[in-house]
Amino acid sequence: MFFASGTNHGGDGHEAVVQDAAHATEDAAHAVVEHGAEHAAEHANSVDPMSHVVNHDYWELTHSIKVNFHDWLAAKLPFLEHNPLGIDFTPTMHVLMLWISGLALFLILRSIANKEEGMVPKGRLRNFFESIVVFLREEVVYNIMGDKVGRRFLPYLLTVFFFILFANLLGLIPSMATATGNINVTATLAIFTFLMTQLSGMRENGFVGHWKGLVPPGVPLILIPIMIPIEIMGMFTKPFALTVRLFANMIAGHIIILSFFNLIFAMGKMPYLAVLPFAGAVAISAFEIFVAFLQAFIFTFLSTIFIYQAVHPDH
Amino acid sequence: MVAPISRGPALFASGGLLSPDPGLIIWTVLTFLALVLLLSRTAWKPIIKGLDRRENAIRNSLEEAEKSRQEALSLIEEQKDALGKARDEAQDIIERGKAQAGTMRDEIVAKAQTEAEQTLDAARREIEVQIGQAREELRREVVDLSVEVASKVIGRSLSDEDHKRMAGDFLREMKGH
Repeated sequence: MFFASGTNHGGDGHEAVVQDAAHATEDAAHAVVEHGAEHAAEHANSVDPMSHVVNHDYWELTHSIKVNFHDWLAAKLPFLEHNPLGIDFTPTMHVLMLWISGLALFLILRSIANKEEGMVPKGRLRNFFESIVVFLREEVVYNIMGDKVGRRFLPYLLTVFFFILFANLLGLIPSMATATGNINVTATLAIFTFLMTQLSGMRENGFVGHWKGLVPPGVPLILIPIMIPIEIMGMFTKPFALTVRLFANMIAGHIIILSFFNLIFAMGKMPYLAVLPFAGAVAISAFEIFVAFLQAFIFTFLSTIFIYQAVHPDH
Repeated sequence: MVAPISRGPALFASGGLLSPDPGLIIWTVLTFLALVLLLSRTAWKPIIKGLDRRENAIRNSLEEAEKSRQEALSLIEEQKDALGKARDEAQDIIERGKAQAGTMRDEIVAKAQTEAEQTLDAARREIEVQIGQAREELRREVVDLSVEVASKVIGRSLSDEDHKRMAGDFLREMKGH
């Protein structure tokens, strides 16, 4: 990994493993107070961008306030961790972030949907969300699938977009984390699109018809042995690309922002120059807001195309 | 002194960037499924229904407005037509009135002229008659006077009857000339 952590240099005796990286960060923060700026520059380097983007058992509100709900829940509900499935179900920070995004999405959309049915659109929140819904419906879903097919998949695709968007944006709020920067989450969402694609393809064209779609009509017989493996590979490449694109985009921005933060501390001997990485961090943060929308849009847009391709294989 | 570099766990190890986390996967599935079901029913349906209704309302309003505009235009057109027709009619009436007045004037003038001529003719005839009568009377007077004068001059008494007959023949002869 590129991001060296200077924890051991701090001399606190911590082992430089990721679980301790956050503690090291904390210690580094203390060090700022205890040993002055000169020392801090060295210690602050240990704000490990990697530890920032990976999942944790605790919720790090600040460097010094960590809510270890995982251990607390595991103690209260031991079956979450020790069950016959052998899977630890105890919610981690990213699970918590998914819940927060989902809950926020649900509450906001409910408040919009429950507005009295005036014909004149009222309220900024309502207009904001409605304009996105209209854009996705007209320009993406209906534009690609047509009204008839599009109407069936619209709720799924709208949920995909807003769920990803909310999870992306939540990660930009200090003390929150980006669940969509976890490959497990993006892979699961991509698998949903994959399943939607396959199931609606089979529902629309029949089991045989769907698999016949693997070979486009008019392909010479001799090419078929080559085409089939390629098409089957393509079938799995699509969700894989969805998975990696969202995951990589979301962590990349955060790693850059964290690197700028490190640079701010690295400017210990030339504090005026810290303005530069600070400006960089602000700029990248603003860019991340755009990326949050863009990646949610791309995921939704590609899902729409993949599903429609399965429903109408000749396109 | 070279600090030992902390590499963190490998990518796929627990806590790594790509470490599989079945618990998180299952929670993602549950959260996302619940959200799809919940939002489909409670949010997307009413929101999309509201959007459709508003879209229809706007479309209907626009169509209605266009229809009203067309109606107004055709009404204006009608009014213009009616106004033009009324103006034409008025013009017609005035023209007809003028023509009528012209003929009437001509008639009246002509009538007056004929009447005047008739009156003049009557007057002339009367005058002629009067003149004739006056002449006759004058002639008779002349005869009587001549007879009287002649009888006085001649001294011979002729019967009145003879004289008158003679004078009458004479006069007739005169008239014949």
